Order: sequence, then C-alpha cells, then structure tokens
Amino acid sequence: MICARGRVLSAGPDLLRVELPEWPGHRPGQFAMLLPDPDVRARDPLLPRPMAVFRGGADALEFRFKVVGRGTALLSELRAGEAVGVLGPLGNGFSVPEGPATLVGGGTGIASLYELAREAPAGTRVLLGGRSRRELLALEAFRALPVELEFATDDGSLGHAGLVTDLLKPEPGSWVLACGPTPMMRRAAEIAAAAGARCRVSLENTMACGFGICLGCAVSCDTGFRYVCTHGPVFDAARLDWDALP
Amino acid sequence: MTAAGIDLSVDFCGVRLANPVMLASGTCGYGTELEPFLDLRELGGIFAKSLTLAPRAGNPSPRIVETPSGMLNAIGLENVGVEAFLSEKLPAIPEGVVVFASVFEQEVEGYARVCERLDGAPGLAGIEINASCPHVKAGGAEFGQDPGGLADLVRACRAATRLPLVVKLSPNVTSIAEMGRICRGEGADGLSLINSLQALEVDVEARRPVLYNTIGGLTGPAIRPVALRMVWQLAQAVEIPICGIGGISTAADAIAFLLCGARCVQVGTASYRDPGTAVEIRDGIRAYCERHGVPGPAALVGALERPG
Repeated sequence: MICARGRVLSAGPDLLRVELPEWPGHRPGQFAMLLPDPDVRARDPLLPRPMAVFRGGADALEFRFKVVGRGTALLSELRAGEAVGVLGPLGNGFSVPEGPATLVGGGTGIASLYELAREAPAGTRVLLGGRSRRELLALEAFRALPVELEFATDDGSLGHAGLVTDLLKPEPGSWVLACGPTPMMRRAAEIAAAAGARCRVSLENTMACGFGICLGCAVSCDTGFRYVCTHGPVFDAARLDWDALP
Repeated sequence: MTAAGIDLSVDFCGVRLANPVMLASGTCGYGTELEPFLDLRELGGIFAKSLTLAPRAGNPSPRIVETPSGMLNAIGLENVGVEAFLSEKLPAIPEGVVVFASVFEQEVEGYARVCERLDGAPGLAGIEINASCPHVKAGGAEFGQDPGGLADLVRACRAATRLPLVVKLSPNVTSIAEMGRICRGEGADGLSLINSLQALEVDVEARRPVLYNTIGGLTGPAIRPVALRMVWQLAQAVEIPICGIGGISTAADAIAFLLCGARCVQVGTASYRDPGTAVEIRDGIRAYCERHGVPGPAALVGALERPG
C-alpha cells in the first residue's frame, strides 16, 4: 500500500491514465483513492475518491469511470503531466475463479471486472450491461479477450434489449461475480442462489480514507457492519443485508 | 535537540511529547491502521478511537459526506469496547508511542467505569474524555453543553483514574471559557478542543438529509477559524494545558493554534486526505522555528501579538 503522487499520462470524460513507478501491483477488483489535486492547500475536493483499477501497473495505471460529481469531473479534466494523488492498492479484490464462472458488469461497475475477465479461464462468460452501447465502458478491450462476451442495453443499441441479468444462467456450483448498480447485483445474487451457484459482488460506498480509519463505508452483513474499504469491496452476496445497502 | 538546535518536545499534562503533533481520536483508528504510511513514533502521540464499555456498532450508511472545505460524519461512535482495546489494540501499538485513550459513554457512571478499567494500563499515557455524547438526563444536550452535567462527568472520571485526564470540549456552547473553568475546577489536567460542530447537509433532489443520522459533526479546514477563536478564548480563561484541534492540515495551521495558546495539536480530517500529513506538519514546525530563530514550539505557545 502506497500514498504517492502519480503523473497524469492522459485524462478524459471516462478515462484516467497515470504513471506511478512506486505502484506495488494489485489484484483484480482492487481500488485506489484518487485525489485530483494533491497539493496540501487544495480544498476542492477535500477528500480523495475511491476508484476501481481498470488495468495496468507502474508504467500506466488505468481507471475508467463516468463523471457523476465534482470528484470525477475534476479527474476527467486533468491534463497530461499534472500530479494526481494515488493511495492504494486497497480492498480485497476478486479471487480468480478456478472453475466455471460468469462475470456480470453493469454501468461503471464494468471497470472492476476487466482484469478478472483477462485472468479468468478461457471461455468464461462475461455479461456487460448499460443504458446504451455508448455507456459500455472499454468495449474494445473486453472484445480482445478470449471470453464468451454478451451484451445487454436498455435501449437495445447493443445485444439483448433489457437487463443484463436476463442473460445470466449459471450452472450449479459455478461462480457468479458481479459489479454494478445495487439492483443489478441483487438480482444476480438471487439468480445465482436459485441456481445453486456461488455469488460474490463488488460494492461501492462513500468513504473518506479507503484504509479503515474513517469508518464511513459501513455495510450491513450477517455478522454486523463491515467496511467496503477493508473487508470488501468484494463480498459474499449471501451474507449481505441487501435491504440496508445504500 | 536536533543538529540545528531546535527542541521540538513539549510537555502536555505531565507527559513529554517528542513534538506537538498528535493524531485526533476517531481519525487514526487504534494507531496501527496508519503504520503503512507513517512511523507513529515520529509523532507527539495519538488519541485512539473513543471507547465504550461494550463494543458498539455505530450508525447505518450514509455516515459521511463532503461539504465545502470540510466533511460531516455521523459514524455513531463505533468501537471495539474497552476490553478489546486493552487486550488487542493497545498492545499492538509500537513501544514509545504516546497513547491517550478516548472515553465515551451514555451516562456518567459508564464513563467512570471505562476510566477505571483503563487506569494503570501498561503503555497508556492518559485519558481524553469525549464530552460530546448526548446526555439523556439533560434532555439530550451534550454533556459538554451542560455546565452541571460536565462538572458531574469530570468529577466522576477524576475519581476513577490517576492517569492524566484531558477533557475534549464541545464547541456547541455559548461560553467555552465557562466550560474550561468547570473542568479545571473538577480536576482535569488538560483540555482539548474543538470537537466537531453540529451540522446538517441536505439532498435537495431527494428532499432528505444526506446522513442517515440527519445531524453530523463538521470537521476539516472549514472549522479551523472557529477552533482558533475558541482555543484563544479558553487560553485567556484557564492556565491548564490546551491541545488544539480543528482543520489542521499544514504546519502554519498548527503554529496558529500554538500562538493562540495550545501546547500541542491534533491532526484529524487531514489524515484522510493524506495519512502522512502529521509528519509533514512536524517537519514544517521545525522549519518555521529555524526560520524565526525560536528554540522550539514551546516558545510559541501563547505568543500571539495583538494589534495596539
């Protein structure tokens, strides 16, 4: 785990690439806290933002996202050569499944699944969904992987017109690994449970630190509160209190 | 003394701190969480997360939200409880780190029992009383807002421990000087301030409070001038040592608190932004002392010069 200043290689409305020689490497599904302006006097934003690592390493660490608020807007406006604060890698990440698995990604949650899809056994099913074709992040990168790729869009502009979970038909005993909007992950967990498959999901929550001191990112599990930053972001779906998720 | 002749050490309630920069309760866990980013022994010390008698689960999310130059939190005093602190957390902190435990309960008796349990714990330098708990008997006001409640609280805790006793004052009061005098009168060794300011943020689209708990505590740079004013007012009113808290993120911020009368400071929200901030502040204080030809931070305490 490091807290350092990276150098922006490129940035845009849905992408940030950072050069960070100190980066110690990471597992699929881990995340970093990103600070658009790491100057100690900067106040906008005051707190770093949690962001899943899309792919990469020390030479080019890549993040894919959608501008949803002030933090992501400022990240998208960074220019090549500028400094960005990076603290990470954080969280548990996904374990790469040894047996058959289906990956289910929705919206910006797709970004958390790319390296998992890359490392998963050939023929792994990867289901990606979004409002429209344009919203499916990093489509070309996924298409280059030796996985069985299917799409769903709300407007039918690519693949199945409807929910990505409509495509989910897991084998008993297989893995379902999901990241996306809470209703999507909840539905994936229900389908997995009904089919006798095991399901793990990657959550997000507001957090100030990313490493377990602010306690801002609590989620309710069968054993009480757990933190997205240190116990997650990947959780066993059967242990989550879905009704209490933000 | 360093090679440059600067002595960064200060005395706080009879405890010698290697330097005046400490970590604030609730923002540094139980210390070890920060070890990947800094050596705790390089700091003046830490104030561990507030402890209750039994473990406490805290509030549902959302627990935090960023606001202009600050943040609100309503964590709900989640903690492992005093027994787990003594058996697991305190022994895990490296030797040589000055550790203050923070105590929080619902009733005076509960506070006193936690203090009793902490009394004499190996490696514990002192106790900080978090007086911002809603006091049921005072109609839900914080202990720190009610002169009578605060006096009862400090008296009971004083009787329960021989350790240095610091009272962390609530800023949500009319006269901070009056609250400080009450604590001194009941035997407190020191005062720390300010705790967070009660605040509210609204999601106008949803027409709901952002936080599950509705009200949260405002911290961060937004509260620093308020905290400075209160430290300065308190320093005029009481002679017991003061630890300044409130939005400190640079050495200049910390020095402002020293000038207003604080012996030492606590860094809080800034550690979320960069967990190494406190060590940078220490280095910045040394550089300031060198630049201004003062022997060390102790010489800056209360040295604010007023116009005229």
